[in-house]
Amino acid sequence: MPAFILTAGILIPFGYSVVMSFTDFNLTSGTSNFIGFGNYIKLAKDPEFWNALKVTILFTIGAVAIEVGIGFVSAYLLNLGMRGQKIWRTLFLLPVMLPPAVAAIMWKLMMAPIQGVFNYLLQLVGLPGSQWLGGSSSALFSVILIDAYVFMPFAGMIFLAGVQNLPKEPYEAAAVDGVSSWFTFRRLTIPLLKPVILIVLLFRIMDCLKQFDIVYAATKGGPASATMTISVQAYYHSFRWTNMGYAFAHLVVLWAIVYVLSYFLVGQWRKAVSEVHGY
Amino acid sequence: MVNVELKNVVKKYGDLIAINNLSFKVNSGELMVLLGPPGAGKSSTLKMVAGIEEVTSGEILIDNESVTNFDPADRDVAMAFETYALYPHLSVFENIAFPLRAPKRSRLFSEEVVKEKVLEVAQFLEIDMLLERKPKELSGGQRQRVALGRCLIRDPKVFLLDEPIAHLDAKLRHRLRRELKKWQQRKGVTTLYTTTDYLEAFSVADRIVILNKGILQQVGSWEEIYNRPANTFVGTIVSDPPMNYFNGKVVVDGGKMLMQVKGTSFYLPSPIEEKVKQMNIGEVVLGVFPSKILMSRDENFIPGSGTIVDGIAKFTELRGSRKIVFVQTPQDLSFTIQLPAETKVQVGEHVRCFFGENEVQVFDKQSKINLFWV
Ligand SMILES: Nc1ncnc2c1ncn2[C@@H]1O[C@H](COP(=O)(O)OP(=O)(O)O)[C@@H](O)[C@H]1O
Ligand SMILES: [Mg+2]
Repeated sequence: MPAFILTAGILIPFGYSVVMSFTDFNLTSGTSNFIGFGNYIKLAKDPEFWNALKVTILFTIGAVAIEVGIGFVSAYLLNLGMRGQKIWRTLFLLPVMLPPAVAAIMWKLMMAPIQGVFNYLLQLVGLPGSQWLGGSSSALFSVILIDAYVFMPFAGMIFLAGVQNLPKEPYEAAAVDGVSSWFTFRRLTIPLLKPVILIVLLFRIMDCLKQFDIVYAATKGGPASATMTISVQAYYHSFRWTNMGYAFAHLVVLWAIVYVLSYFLVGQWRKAVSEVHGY
Repeated sequence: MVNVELKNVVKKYGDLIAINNLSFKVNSGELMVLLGPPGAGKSSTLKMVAGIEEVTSGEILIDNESVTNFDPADRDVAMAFETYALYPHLSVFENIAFPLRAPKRSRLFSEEVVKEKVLEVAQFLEIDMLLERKPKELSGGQRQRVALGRCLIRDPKVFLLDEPIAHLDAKLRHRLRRELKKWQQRKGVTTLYTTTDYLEAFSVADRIVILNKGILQQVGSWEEIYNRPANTFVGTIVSDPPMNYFNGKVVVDGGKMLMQVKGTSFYLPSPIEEKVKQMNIGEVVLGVFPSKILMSRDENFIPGSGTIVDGIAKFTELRGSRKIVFVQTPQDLSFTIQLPAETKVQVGEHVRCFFGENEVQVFDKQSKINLFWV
């Protein structure tokens, strides 16, 4: 029974969205007619949708790459056992404790072209400032930086747990056999951490594909449509332009993408776990 | 050729002293067994030689060169881990081949040669039909052989084998302890080998180091150890059933020195008589291995110079090719005897036991040290 409620709780909103995506439901006029695949056909022809898809994918690739890359290196450094270990770890975790939208606003201030800290620092070392969030070419990169700031520690902490749980003995064996540390890293650490890496990828990719709050707080999708992710686009269609049916079609497509990717990643994760742990 | 030497090695884990001032030398090409109960410090010793554990103090020499501060990689030793330490994500083949694939060796071995060597080792260890499996798909004994294979595939200065056949079934264990010894002799690699099993130690070792609680008890060939165990700990560990011990007072009777216990008088070996006299020792512990006591059902049995003890066979136990007999005298002196399995003994029967004068070990009561070595 609880399983049923849970399943229903998940399925009803989802089913509702799917049904709505086949209508021309409009909040202003109040009409709701079944129009078949009308919204999806419109979507396929809509350059704004294709732009949003491109932005979403670029955002995801950029943010995940930075979070996983820097997260991994930080985990490695934190694991070395430096002095003041506890303080480092606490500092490291600070960004995760901020609500993402708040972090976005904070960064927006620091990225301000005139009075922002970043341009001031760039100027100090003699570099030209940037338009950051305001520039059509720099905006996407800027929101990626904010997302990386907020979620890199999450990735780092999971990697740290993974690194700390690595079995000690295979490393001793490799050390005795005179294997270089790079070889050990490649042939031992990476394969042994594969399940953890895949978990981080899974969570971060799904989260980034659905990205809404940071982008909305920082740029509202602009300038022009430089940071318009699918979620933000759908939001505009629904509440700004009251075209609910069309907005739901966006979300259903997004869901499909997330579903296919996570299905694939979970499969890979299972395989990796059974390879490393044997179950 | 390569020798290995430990000089005053101490290993502490926190407050625990795992190895206490350990010194011994392994000669070139020698197979030295470290024998001791679990917790004696055998693995710690091997790990310090390998360089995975640092010494707290003392020195380790390989080939007359101090390697105390060398990285494991620079010591050129190969180790089979007691806990296997296999690479969980690699097949048996890749586990065994791993040392050869290390960048510094991979140039020396073509893929052909790697295959050949892995196969040779795998056949030797009877795991050649498991090469495609992952460690998780193996039994404990099979994993242990993979760990051993990964060690044997190398040509290092020193082999470190930490209880390398402890988890194999009895048949394979017996075959492998012979074969391992042959393999080691053929390669001429100086070897440190640990075990808790004295029979295994005696069958593979050139010499044996006996360890207890991190302290060296005795070093020697098995004859040396068996003929003159350094103390009661050694007497207990190198025999099963363990050495028989009797506590008693030393008395002099008609110029002969005797030890009396529960109505029985044992003659002491003549070299010991002198020491007891000189050191003015009043009480001793007498020790005799069960295999060194002779027994007969013949009432007139007197095979030589020694002590006769008459008693009753309380019960008997068959252990493979041996028969263990528990004997008790009317005055409640009891001991075990080890005889060939076919020996006829009835429970409740009177038996005459003979303790040869020179088969008797005499230990100091306080220190438990064999007076022969004092
Ligand atoms: N890493 C460690 N940390 C703390 N104590 C240890 C560690 N390794 C071994 N010991 C302790 O040191 C002693 C010797 O252990 P070990 O060398 O493994 O003995 P053995 O191999 O003869 O069984 C034991 O008391 C054990 O509990
Ligand atoms: Mg051990």
